[in-house]
Amino acid sequence: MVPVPFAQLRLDPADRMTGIKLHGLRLISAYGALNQGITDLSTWTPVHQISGLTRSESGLEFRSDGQDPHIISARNDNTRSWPAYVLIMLGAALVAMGFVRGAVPDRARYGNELLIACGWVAMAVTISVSFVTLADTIQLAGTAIGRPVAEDELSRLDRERTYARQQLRGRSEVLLASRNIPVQTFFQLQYTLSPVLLVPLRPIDGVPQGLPLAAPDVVSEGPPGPADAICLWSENQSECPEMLPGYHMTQDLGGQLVLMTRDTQR
Amino acid sequence: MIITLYLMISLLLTAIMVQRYGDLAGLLLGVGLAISITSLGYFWTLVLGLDAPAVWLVLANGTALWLAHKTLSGGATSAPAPGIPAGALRCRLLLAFTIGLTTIALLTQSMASPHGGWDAWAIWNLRARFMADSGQIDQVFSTVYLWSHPDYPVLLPSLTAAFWELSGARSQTVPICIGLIAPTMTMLLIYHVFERVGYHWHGLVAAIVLASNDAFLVPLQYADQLLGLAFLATGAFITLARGQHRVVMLRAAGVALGAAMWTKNEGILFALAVLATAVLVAFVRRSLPEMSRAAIPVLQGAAPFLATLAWFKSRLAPDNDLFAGAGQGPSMLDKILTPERYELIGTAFTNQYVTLTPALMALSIFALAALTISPRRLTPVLAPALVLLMMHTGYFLVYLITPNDLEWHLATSLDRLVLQLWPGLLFILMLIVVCSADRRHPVESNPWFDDHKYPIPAGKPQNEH
Repeated sequence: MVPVPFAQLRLDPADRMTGIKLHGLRLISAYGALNQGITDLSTWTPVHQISGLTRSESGLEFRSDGQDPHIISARNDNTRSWPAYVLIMLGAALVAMGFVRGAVPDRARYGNELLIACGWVAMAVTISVSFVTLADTIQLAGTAIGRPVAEDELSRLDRERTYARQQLRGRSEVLLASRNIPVQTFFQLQYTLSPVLLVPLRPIDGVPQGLPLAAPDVVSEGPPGPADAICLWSENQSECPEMLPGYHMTQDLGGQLVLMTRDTQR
Repeated sequence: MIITLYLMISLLLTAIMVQRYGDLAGLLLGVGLAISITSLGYFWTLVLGLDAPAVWLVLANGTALWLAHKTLSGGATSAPAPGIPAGALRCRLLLAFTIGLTTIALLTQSMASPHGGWDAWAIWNLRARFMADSGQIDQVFSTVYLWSHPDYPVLLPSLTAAFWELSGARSQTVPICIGLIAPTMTMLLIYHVFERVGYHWHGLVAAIVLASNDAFLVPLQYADQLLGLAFLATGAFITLARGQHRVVMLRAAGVALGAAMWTKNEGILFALAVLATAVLVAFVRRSLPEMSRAAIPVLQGAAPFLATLAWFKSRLAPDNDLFAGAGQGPSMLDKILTPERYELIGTAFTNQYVTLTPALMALSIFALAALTISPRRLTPVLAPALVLLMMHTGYFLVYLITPNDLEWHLATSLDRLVLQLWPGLLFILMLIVVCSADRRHPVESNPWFDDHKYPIPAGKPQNEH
């Protein structure tokens, strides 16, 4: 993995980018260390929706996925829709009405002319920014209206793992045999297979200090023993049955994950 | 079918509150009560292993409706509900418009990300799935997945799971709709509290500024937004605890305080900060008996949450990761004596507030102007400001002794903590502006803010409109 300097990929906020399309890159630190390299940005992604980032793109960093990283294209939308203009006009009207109606304190009540003047300027900026923020949000949301909404990764995984959830119904725990499974993959697996509890056999890769992800009493060097269901994270699915004799593959869970259940079980 | 019955009961409950306490206060009280009963009720059906939890929830809300009808409706002693203050109608229309647009923005964004932000699916919705489908209470709070913080209180997951039970489906629409409660109710509440004291334009500006926070407009489905609402509601209802509705408002403040504790562990810190502030104020003013009398209805409101939380923490919740991992790495004393940690935390806090929004700047300038003219008139603001200061200090100390990697901990949590405090901070700043602007000193007493010389304003003089 080759770190890519953030500066090379910085999007100019003045361009009001609403989406970016990248090639060969994975987001690594937008949401701290937990986001260790799994968010695939190979499709259009609204800037503000990348792992909860604001449009300032603060902390947005990427790493190479073994290919030459570059921005394929960036969607730029400098036009505002009518709701945006309505909101901005409303903000301006509110400032005007506030002046007339005394929405904000005036000199008569305070007497400090310089501070009050500064306060008025700041308040006007505040309200304008408030409505522009709202307007931009409406605008961003509006770009999605009328077009089919692309299914996000988690929704897709959740839908595709319905069969696995049905197969695991009635079980309380599933062992997770991992080989450096990324932490986000692990968390998503737990979410999509819940309410079955995933018990990791090995520590999860990239876990920050202090988060005990693998229960010490179940970390095992040998075969998983009595477990009747195991999730395997492997780059080579064909080797899974050989790794776990007595188990068969129940479902490919996507993301290099395979659900194995014991042959003797239902 | 059963959800229709539930919603009808909740609507009737809200209607009774509206009839008695006015439209906005009634709406806030009714919704808050329904949320509290539903969350606590679902949790106890799970603990007691009761079949058909949806039926029990309907019964619990039905009982609340019956009690509210019996005690609040009619009667010669009942006071008329406050009407819409003069001149407030236009503000309300603008507020409704702004809340409507905010709701549309949140809903349309939710379509692209229906499972919410990271914490929503890794903690809150995950817990809700366990609660709704596991059937084993021990498994819901298992230590196997300590990474998902099973020690956190469960107001939000209980609410989500309850509505899944009531609707009979595990639709993602439920957490999306619940995620709308906090932003809309927070805007409504911060407007209402200023409208009630005659400053509706200030309330409207506060609501709009509140929504100017980028994080506020992201459909995260986090408990932090609900916690921010609970913090604000506690302060707001105490502020409104005057006159005929004093006891009811104090009970409502107690419910909000309890809900904060039942939402996240930070709510417990908040309760301690409120308690410490109340004791300090009583000590300084030598008004311990009065404060004790005011504390009784607050405790009554918080009692169901306190009892549930005590049971949850003693019987179900595993140790918090901050304390479970206390033995790892450097000792607590070493951390406290490391200057670099102070610098790192201080810088992170500063950056968080600097980038938060320019809105603070305007209100801070007005607050500064107010201080230069009449600092003594700001007495009503001191207590809530002290609570806010204690919260910041508490968060700072937690970061100082955290067993986790400090930079990682700050990067993954500080923005959410500030989001919790954001409505309360705005409330305090606008309260400074309002208190400074009002020259009248009505003698109605307020349980903790004021004395008879410097109470919060009861309303703007008519000649100023």
